Amino acid sequence: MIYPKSTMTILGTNKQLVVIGDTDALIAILHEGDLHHQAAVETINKLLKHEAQTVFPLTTITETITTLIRKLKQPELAARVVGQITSGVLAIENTDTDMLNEALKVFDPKGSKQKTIFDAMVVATAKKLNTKVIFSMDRWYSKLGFTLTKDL
Amino acid sequence: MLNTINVTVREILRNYREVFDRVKKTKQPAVVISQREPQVAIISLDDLEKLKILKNKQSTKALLGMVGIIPKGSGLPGDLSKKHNDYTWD
Repeated sequence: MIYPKSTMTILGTNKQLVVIGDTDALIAILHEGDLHHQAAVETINKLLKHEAQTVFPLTTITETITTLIRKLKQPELAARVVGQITSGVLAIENTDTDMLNEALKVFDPKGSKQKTIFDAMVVATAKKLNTKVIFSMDRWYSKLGFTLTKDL
Repeated sequence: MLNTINVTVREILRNYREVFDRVKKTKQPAVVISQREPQVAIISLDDLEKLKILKNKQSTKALLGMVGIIPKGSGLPGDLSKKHNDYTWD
C-alpha cells in the first residue's frame, strides 16, 4: 500500500508511517472484553505489516491509567497493567507548553464534553511528529483532517 | 557490527570537543567509562534518530504483548474505550 504523502512522517530522513495512539485504542487493546478489542488487534497487525511507528502522547498514557485505576476494581491487576504500560516498551512523546498551545487551537472548552483536552493533545502530538494518522475509533479526528488507522 | 570507542570522564572534561568531533566524524559511539565501568554512550544525532525510529517500531510490536491483559470478566464495562470520558470523569 502506498500512503499519500500527507500520512508520512519526517522523523529523520526515513519516510516512515508514524501513528499516534489515543486512549480509546489503548483501552481496546488491553481489555479483552471491549467492544473494539478485535478491531484494535487487527489494526496492530496491519500496523506491524507496514512497519509503522506507534507513539503515545504522555497525556494519553496518564488518561488511560486514570481510567483503568478508576474502573478496574482489582488493584493487583490494575497495578500489573500500569506496570506494563509504563515499563518503557511503548514510545511515549513528552508534552510541553507549545503542544498545549497547539492543542488549545482545536479544543473548545464550551463544546462537547466528549472532546477533551486529552484528545486535543493527540492532535498536537500528531502535528509535532508531522503525521496525519491516528490510532483511534473517534471520528472527530477525521473531521479535523486526520486519517484513522482503520481507514488506512 | 557496531564498533565503539571508549572515553573516560576525564577525557571529556579535558577535551569534549575532540570527543564530539570523533563521534560525529566516525559515527562510532563513544562509551563513557567511569569508575572502570561503562556508564553511558555518546552517539551521533543520526544514530539517535535511527534509535528513535527503532524504538517507535518496537512500540507497535509491544502493543501485541499487551493484547487482552485485562481479561473478560474483570469488571470493566464493554464500552469503556468508547465512553471512557463518561466513565472516568462522571
